[in-house]
Amino acid sequence: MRQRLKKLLPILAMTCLVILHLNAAELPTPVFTNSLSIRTESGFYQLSWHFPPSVIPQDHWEFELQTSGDSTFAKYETLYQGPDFATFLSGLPNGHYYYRVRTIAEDTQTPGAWSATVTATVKHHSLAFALSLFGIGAIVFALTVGIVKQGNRRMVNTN
Amino acid sequence: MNFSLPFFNFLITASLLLLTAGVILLLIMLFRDLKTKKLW
Amino acid sequence: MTHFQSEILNPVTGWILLLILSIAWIALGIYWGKKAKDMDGYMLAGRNVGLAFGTATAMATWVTSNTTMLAPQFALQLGIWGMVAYSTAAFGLFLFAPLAKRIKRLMPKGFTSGDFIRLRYGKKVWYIFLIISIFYGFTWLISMGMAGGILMNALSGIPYRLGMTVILSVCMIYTIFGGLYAVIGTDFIQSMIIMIGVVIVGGAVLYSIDLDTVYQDVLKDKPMLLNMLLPASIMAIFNNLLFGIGEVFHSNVWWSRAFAMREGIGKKAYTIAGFMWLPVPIAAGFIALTSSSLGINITSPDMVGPLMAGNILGKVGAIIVFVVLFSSLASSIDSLLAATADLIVEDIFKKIFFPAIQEKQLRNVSVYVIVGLTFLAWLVCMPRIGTLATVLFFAGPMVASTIYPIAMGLYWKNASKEGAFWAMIIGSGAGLIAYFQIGWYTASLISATLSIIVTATFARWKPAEFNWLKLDESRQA
Repeated sequence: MRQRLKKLLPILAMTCLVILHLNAAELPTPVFTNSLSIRTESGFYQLSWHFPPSVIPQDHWEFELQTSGDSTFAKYETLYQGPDFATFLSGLPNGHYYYRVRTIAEDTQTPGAWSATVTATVKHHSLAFALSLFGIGAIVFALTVGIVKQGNRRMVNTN
Repeated sequence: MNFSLPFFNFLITASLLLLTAGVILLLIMLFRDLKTKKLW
Repeated sequence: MTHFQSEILNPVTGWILLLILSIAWIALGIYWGKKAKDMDGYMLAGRNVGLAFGTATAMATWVTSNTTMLAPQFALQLGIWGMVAYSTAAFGLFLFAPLAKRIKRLMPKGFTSGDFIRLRYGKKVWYIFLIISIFYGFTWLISMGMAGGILMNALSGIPYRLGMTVILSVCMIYTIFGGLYAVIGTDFIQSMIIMIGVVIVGGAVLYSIDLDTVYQDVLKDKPMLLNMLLPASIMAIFNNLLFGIGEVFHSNVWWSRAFAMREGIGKKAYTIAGFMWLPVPIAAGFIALTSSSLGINITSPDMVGPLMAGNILGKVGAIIVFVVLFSSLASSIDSLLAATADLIVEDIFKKIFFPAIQEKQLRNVSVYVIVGLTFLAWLVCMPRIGTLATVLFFAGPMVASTIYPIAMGLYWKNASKEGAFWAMIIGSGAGLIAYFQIGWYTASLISATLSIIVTATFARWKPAEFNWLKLDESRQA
């Protein structure tokens, strides 16, 4: 009896492991729906993801979104953990940003595999360009005020 | 060069105050128009 | 799509609010509508609107779903400059104030902005103007119908199509019954609700969070939002200002109010309305910047305002937001329905096809046009194509190109029809190119710049000699 149990034990352990492993493997990998390489001149963008169509989302799944300044994610920051399928980022300075997302089982905190990495490049418009448009706008605005003011003065005078 | 915290503070407080003034002014104008029967 | 967090109010509360507001607007519309005895009454509220109602209607109409939804979005995308940039749209009202006086003087019996363009520049310019104006009016209407549906859905779980249908049909019903009387009367109540609501929500948020923390958190997570030299925002400032001026200057929504106000009221009313509107984008917008501090995930920038208000203030906050948004939507949808219908009835139906039509028949036609417009808008809103709302931004360069044909046309004898024609064509074209090549935050700016150059150049080198008396059609008859 004992011998038999001893023989069975590794098999039992193996089965448990396999089941656990299967469970983890069942966590599907989210897929980014936005472009994997984002370029922006305004410093804001939305990241969004979904599951492949074959997957039926479950209530206890959530997502972990990480960002890093380098593509290896040697140093990373968790940007978001929760059930939403998107996040909106803004106010970013010039630079390269990397993002990846994975599914996490909320109860056991077992993570799934990482998604493909999104590379975002923020390069703001040049300040000279922005300021010249600002200047043109200021002139056009001043002229508009001038047209209305002068016109009204003339109207009052002729009456 | 950043906007300062006091400026941020001022912008928001001033807006809320201006709006409150707007509500009061609108009511005053309403009662004046009602009294002079010049609503429309 | 399950992009949104779970709703804040339950659908029953949502339906009760919706029902109360709908009944109130319709009842008031029918009640006030009894004042409308003739076409002047129906289209222009008797041309005798006083200061209180005049101010409130300008203010409430300018507060649209865009002000309460887009201002927080601007704050989130473009930072402090973004909020200020949005506020500059108040200059549309400020600068229209003297125009309102001039319009009333030149055209005491005028009906629409189309009337002015036709009499001032002739048919060719008028056709282009009508296309721009109706395109703008219709996209504005659609964007608000969709915003209404999305908001009801996000705040209280009322299905998108139902919410959208209810808000469009409520506005349609009271506009049909009451004409501009109903629109202006309800606008007064709606402007009070909007202002008080924004003050309460803004004040409560200010009270419940520490602005210092918010500032530090934004500095850490979204540093460029506090930067004075964020290039996109710097460009957006005058772009938004000129977009606002273009919207107000050309649109019949504002012209019909200028005609409707009593002599001597228009200038004052528009100026005061500008001051009342100026703080709304900032008071409603800054709430978006608190998301970092509260650790709330923003999935989509256009929902940030209502979402944050609901999160910070809970159920009461969500109810106030619901009522404020419903009011700001209704106050603009009704105005837009009335003014666009007037433009179609007066300019297209009467002036192009049936010049001899009787006044009574004209009013019936008005009703059909309002119903038709609502139905069309409803059809386009049905599929909930989110990106359609951005079509409104397309209209930016188009309306900005009309600023100078209008402004110079009102004040300069020598502004010519060729100038107006090419200003609209070149301005709109170049603006649309800028929209795609540089970014939406430059389109109106480029368009207005070209429009001013073209209109002024023609006035200088190929001047017209316009007789102002031609604008007063009642004199010729």
